[in-house]
Amino acid sequence: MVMKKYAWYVLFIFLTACELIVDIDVPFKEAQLTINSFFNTDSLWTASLSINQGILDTSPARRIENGLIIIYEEDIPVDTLTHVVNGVYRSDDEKPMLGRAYEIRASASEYKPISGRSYIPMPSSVTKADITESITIDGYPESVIRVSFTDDPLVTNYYQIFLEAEQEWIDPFTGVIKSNRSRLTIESDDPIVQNNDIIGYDGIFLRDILFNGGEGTVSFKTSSSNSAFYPAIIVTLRTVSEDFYNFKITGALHDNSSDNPFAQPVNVYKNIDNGFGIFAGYSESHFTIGQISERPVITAITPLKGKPGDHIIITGENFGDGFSYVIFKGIPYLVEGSVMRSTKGELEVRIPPKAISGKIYVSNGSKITASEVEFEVIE
Amino acid sequence: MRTLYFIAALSLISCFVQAQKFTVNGSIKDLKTGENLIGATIFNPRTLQGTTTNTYGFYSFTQIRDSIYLRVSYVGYEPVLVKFILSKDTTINIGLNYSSTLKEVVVTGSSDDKIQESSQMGTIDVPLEQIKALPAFLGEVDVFKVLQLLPGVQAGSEGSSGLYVRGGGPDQNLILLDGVPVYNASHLFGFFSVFNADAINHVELTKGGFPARYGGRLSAVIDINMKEGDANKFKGEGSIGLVASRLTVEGPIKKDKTSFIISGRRTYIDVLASPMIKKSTNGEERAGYYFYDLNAKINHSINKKNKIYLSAYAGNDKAYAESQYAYKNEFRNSQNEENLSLRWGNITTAIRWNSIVTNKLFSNVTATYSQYKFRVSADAMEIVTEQDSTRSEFYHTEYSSGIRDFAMKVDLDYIPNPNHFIKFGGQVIHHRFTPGVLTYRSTEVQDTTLGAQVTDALEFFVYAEDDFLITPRLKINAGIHASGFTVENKFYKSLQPRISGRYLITPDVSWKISYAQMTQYIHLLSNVGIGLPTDLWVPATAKVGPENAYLASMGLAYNLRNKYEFTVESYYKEMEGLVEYKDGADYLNVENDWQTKVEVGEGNSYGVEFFAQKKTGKLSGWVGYTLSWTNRTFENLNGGKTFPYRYDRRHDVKVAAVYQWKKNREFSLTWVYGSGAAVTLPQSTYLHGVENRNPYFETEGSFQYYGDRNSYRMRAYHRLDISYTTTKKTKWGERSWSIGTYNTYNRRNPFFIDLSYDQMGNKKFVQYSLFPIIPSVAYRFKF
Repeated sequence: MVMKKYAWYVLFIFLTACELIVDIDVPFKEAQLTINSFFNTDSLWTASLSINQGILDTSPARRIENGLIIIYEEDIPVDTLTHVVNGVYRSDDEKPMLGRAYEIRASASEYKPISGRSYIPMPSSVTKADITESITIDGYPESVIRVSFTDDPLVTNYYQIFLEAEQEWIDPFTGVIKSNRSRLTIESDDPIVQNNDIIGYDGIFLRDILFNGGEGTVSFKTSSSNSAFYPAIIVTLRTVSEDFYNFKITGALHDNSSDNPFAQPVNVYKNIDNGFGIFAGYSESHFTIGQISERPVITAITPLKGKPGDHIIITGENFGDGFSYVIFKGIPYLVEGSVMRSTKGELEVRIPPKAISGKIYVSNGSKITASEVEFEVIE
Repeated sequence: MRTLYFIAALSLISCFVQAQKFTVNGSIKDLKTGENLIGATIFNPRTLQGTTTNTYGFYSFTQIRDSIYLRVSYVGYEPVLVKFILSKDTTINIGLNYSSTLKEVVVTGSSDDKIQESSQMGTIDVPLEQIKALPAFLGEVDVFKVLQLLPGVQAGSEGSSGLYVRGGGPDQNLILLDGVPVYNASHLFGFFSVFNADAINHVELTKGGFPARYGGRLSAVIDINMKEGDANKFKGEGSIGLVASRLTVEGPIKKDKTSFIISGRRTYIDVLASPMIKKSTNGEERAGYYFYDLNAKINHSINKKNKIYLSAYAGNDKAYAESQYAYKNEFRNSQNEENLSLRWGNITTAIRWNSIVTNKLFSNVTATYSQYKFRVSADAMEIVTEQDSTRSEFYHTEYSSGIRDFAMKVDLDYIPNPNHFIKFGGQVIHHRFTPGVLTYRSTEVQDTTLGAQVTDALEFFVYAEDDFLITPRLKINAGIHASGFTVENKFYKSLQPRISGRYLITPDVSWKISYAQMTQYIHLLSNVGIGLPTDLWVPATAKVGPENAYLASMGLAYNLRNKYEFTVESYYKEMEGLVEYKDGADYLNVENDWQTKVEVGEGNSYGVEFFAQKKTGKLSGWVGYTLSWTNRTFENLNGGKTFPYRYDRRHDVKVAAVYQWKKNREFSLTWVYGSGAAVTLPQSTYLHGVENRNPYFETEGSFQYYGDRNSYRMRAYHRLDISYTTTKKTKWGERSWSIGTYNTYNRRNPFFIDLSYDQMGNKKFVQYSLFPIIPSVAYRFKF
């Protein structure tokens, strides 16, 4: 905001480089163990163990590799985690279960043993989700997404919602097609959203106070026209434990305030006795808005050789209507050809400069296919 | 409660059982200027009875039929002795002569309102001459910065003009300018207060033992009276300083009947900087910042018994940046204009009618208007002409917030006999709160308004108090303040008993105790707590109730040979219903209701204040020491644990001295010392978790752990300011030069602490300071 900017200007005019390094006696009595473990029914028990360090200590974080981490259910040990690498411990075969109360206990020589308790709440499912494209008052495209889901009336529920788009990409070194999910940055001014000041990777968080027992509907937006970029958007609805919710909300507040000396600092929620960190369960459900496209199929490339600047025709199926792009092998790795004409079944492409012989890749915006044959680029 | 009725009944009875008595009344004024003298003493040395003038210089004194002497005195003025036979009710108006500089001789032995004899506690008035004589930051005399030098008052952060009285925030101060509340008393983001010392006649700070006539805020009352204008002679004064220049003119419109005063002040950084900016950008850009204040007052005597005043204040701050670009070639002609502005200010006006109803009853009816408004706006326009088509585009956004009051007030002073001084009256205030409106308009979009949560509220109170001399040793001021507030169909009421009293142990020493309850129906939402114009005034609502305070104090007052005054006061204060922003709340997000962004909690404050003052003489000034504790408790802040208030300062020392060794030479200094302010600092760091962590690739970031809120102390704050003034008579009047330095020994006082790295690459805490040694020079004149 304009105002904030001015307030800072004025402050800095007056802040006549009066810096003084001071020794403040911030007590750091003894290092304590820090454990971080998030769990849901789909994954093996995992936890990371480290120790905290004095604020003026700049050495890399010390991870604890010789600790003992045991999961308890009602005081009965159910699993002992084994160290994998870098202070991360994992169960060999045990997965957490719904509706059970778990306790994690960790110990390592020299340090006080620590413990924390949490549970996995019952999942909720998305009943409806849609996306509408619009233009903001200052003329930028935005997508408004509305998600509805059921809420259990008997308990206080905490939710996390984030959006992901699945994208495929070509490894430039090996030419192998890989896929990953990237999260979309969303924001919301819906009154039921609690962290609407925080725009972040973690999406939005809400509590069921405004819709307990009914159907929760939340709307939020992304700053670009997503449905044009991504044919399918995956909505992840997490029903999270209160620990998880408090941890994420205070974590975002902490990050927002920690680099502003005038803001009141925020301690991040922790539920670990005698130490730091978080032990928190959640459950997850997914919903797909739009359709995951079928993978394109290349049936023919004519002609099978050409020089940069020549036009070729690729025929096949499931090409994106207007969103296709074509990749050639090139110098140094990959180059993109100019698509001159595009329909679902036929593409006309100009061979780019620096293209070299190799497979041709066709993408329809979400999925990529490599040609069976090698295209030959002649000098 | 029952004792209170008893006292009230007692005081009424005692009015009737008296010998034949008559009343002397009238007003006490400055002989030369006709300015009212507030708090002047009228004393009968034979009966050892006395009274003081009220806020309008009016007194009423009932004595037994006799030939009587009256000694009339006021600090810094030559006392007058009047002798006459009191055989009927008499009106005597007395003018006192200002004893220009060497006041010592004059004051010795005079009977001023002696501190040990007043039933009031926690009240300090600082002579205006002293305010002007003390060193001023950048040469700009500031009433609030002098009040900060009193025990029990904290200055907040460096350079700020905010007042934190006995652990309360600046929002808990009732700042009255001629009886009108001023909502935002700061200029330049809090570095200067809005009160122009040249236009002020009297300043009084009450920090405890509140008399029943005051209400509506928890912690302090700062009652400022504007000058009325010289009724006899046209004159003026002014100054030219580094920051601002001031000019005040006053004089009679009709001699002895109507007078006026008009006083203005303006900064001129922008006037100097603007041409440079303009030149360096070929006239394409303009930017600047200024503030101004304008005070005006007219008073008119309708007849001997009725007087009308009209007073007004307007002040504004404005920061702006404007740019204009034009681009032209053979195809295209485009013009771009952009304006940004940031503005805030107060307007207050009061019309007042003083009337001497009978010689024992004085009435004062006031109608007031007060508003504070803050506004940021941005405009942009583009006109493009291409061949034969012209298109233009514009947008305009504006954010504003504010508060507006209309009020009507009646105050009556009834002085049946010298043992009683009864005050009663009431007030009705209509508030309109506009806590944040965003409007938007552009070529494509019509007027769009967001967050216009206008709230109207009605606040009212009635009060009655009696300053009652029960025995020569025992005097009490007992009263009751009853107030109510309606907002959004919700009605809040509160009955606030007030009592304070003194018991004379010896003629020079008295014990004092007091108890007061205060209710505040409005809240100030402050994001950083340093008094930025973005702070929002909001009403108590159905969800967020009013604030209450309970304050008890006890102390001793000692008057040493009428030269030195010593007071010791201890106090304990509880506050409830305090409002703070939630952790990390975004105060600029107008689309959300402020009520969802605040936490409500409690606070307390206790301590002892020592104060030694010498008001007159070659060397005058004071020394104050405060030992205090201030805490806050909020259910949802700091895990519900009690934490020290940001301005909790264990030890606090203040010294202010003016030394005038020759009639025209004056040296003054102030020294302040305060224990370090409370601050929250990170203690350690620890890794934070990532869901579905891949042990081979992902690395985790880390969180800082801060421990408890405000659990560390910054280094102590101390600072010496000095000033030297030389005055010379000239053909046209008088001129003086002042030179001074702020932070004379260049103490690097802590402003905030941040983490950084030293040259060796070690992580360290770095303390940032705001003001190094700052010299100043000011030229003042009077004609």
